[in-house]
Amino acid sequence: MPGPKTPVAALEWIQKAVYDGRYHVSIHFRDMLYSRKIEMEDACHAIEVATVCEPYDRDPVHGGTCWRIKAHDIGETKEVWVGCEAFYESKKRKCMLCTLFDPNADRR
Amino acid sequence: MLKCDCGGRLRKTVLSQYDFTAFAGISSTLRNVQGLQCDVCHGTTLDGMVINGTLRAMEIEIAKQPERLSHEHARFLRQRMRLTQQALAERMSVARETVADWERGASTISPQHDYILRSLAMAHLVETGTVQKEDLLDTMRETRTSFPRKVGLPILIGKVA
Repeated sequence: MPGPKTPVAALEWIQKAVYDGRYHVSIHFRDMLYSRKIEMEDACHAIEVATVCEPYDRDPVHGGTCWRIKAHDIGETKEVWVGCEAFYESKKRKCMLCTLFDPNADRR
Repeated sequence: MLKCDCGGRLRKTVLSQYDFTAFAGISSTLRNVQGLQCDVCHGTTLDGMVINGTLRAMEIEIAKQPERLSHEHARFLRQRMRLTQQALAERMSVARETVADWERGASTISPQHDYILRSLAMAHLVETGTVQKEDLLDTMRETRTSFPRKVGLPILIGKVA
């Protein structure tokens, strides 16, 4: 079973998965929290309040679909862009927080 | 089976020690926690349920702690409530700069503001269903500020007299 196919479905999927704790964090994502000086609360907040979700070209490793979520931190001082894969695991809707983008470097 | 960035597989394991600082924003280490370890690069990570649960537990412990809030703890509680410094300042009737000063350690939070901030945090925990209303009341009854009681009253009496 693949993941969500539209940005609206993907955003809802990822928001609910993060709120319910049905998510995983890649080792790279944790490293990015350190290097980008972003806290987990800011990443979760960005996912909670995000209105922008777009596909991004990463090969899904869990058979799902990959999405880039764009929002801001709790203090509304910096942009937070989270890269995620939404997928099914044991018939449950899950997501993997894969990376944190650098909005300045990755802006297109 | 979950996969690691390196192509290996993430397997469930008990991690004797895990640095949680990146997630909490406060220097913290978890011991004997259920985690995931890659069978190739041996990198470790946590499940979202563990992360969310740990952050909730930390919020409760910090809100209930008997000591005055440190700058890190004040920031942590504000972030858990998803409030900007400005929004918290408005709720506490202080300037945004005052909150910023507490959080960067430029000034110590007063006992009264410490009490208010922890009350807001406990109310948030009740609102989110993390703790029961009775627990909130018990905590607030037991909470003591570190305000020195002997200061103030004799001076006031002296002036009146």
